[in-house]
Amino acid sequence: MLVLARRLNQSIIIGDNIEVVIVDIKGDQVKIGVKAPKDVSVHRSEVYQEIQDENKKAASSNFNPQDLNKLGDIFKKKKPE
Amino acid sequence: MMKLESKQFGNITIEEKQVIQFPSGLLGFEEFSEFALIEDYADNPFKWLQSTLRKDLAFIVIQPELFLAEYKPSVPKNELLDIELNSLEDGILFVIVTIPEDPHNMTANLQGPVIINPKKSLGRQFISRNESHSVRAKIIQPQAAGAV
Repeated sequence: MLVLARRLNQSIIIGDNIEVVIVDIKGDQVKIGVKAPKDVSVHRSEVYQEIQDENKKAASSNFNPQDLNKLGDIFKKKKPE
Repeated sequence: MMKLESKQFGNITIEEKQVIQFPSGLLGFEEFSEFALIEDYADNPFKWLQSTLRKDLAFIVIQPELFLAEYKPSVPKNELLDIELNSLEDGILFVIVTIPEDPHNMTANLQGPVIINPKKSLGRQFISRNESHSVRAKIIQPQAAGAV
């Protein structure tokens, strides 16, 4: 991993069109600004990781399908006309 | 018509229009790019996204409007273009359901909605930019469960 030391308001450039700016530093928290083309998605890595983990949990859900169908009836009653 | 081996329903026959391509897979399951959208019986609110490649890989999904009055994932337009959608309204919105031992405690992943373009049979899991959207939102509120 490349490690670069940066000060407040300094930035790094990734590729031709992504800029990462140190916007604010307070104690152990750093605010980072990312300027990137619209087709580059930027997420906190925890969000990405959480969705991945939840997908894995969802895929390994174990239950009785009849119970699930019974629960399905709740939604039919609740479903707005 | 085509035959499919499913996790929950064994060998089933499905129509080709039920097969949806997920070019980028689902998060954590990127290598599985094709799923069939199946249901146990018509109008069951729970549907299954069954991998056509791996029998034991299936997800339960539900349309969030069945249990949430207001939920609109925040997805950039250019990401929707990945599945050839111009707007969210042209797609079918699903959320993936996780079912614990007591199914009354089932949760939905509102942070990572699955959107399908029915005309093109394309789907993708998105990450909602609205970080108040929980990864584990309770589906059944206690009063509704008590009514059964």
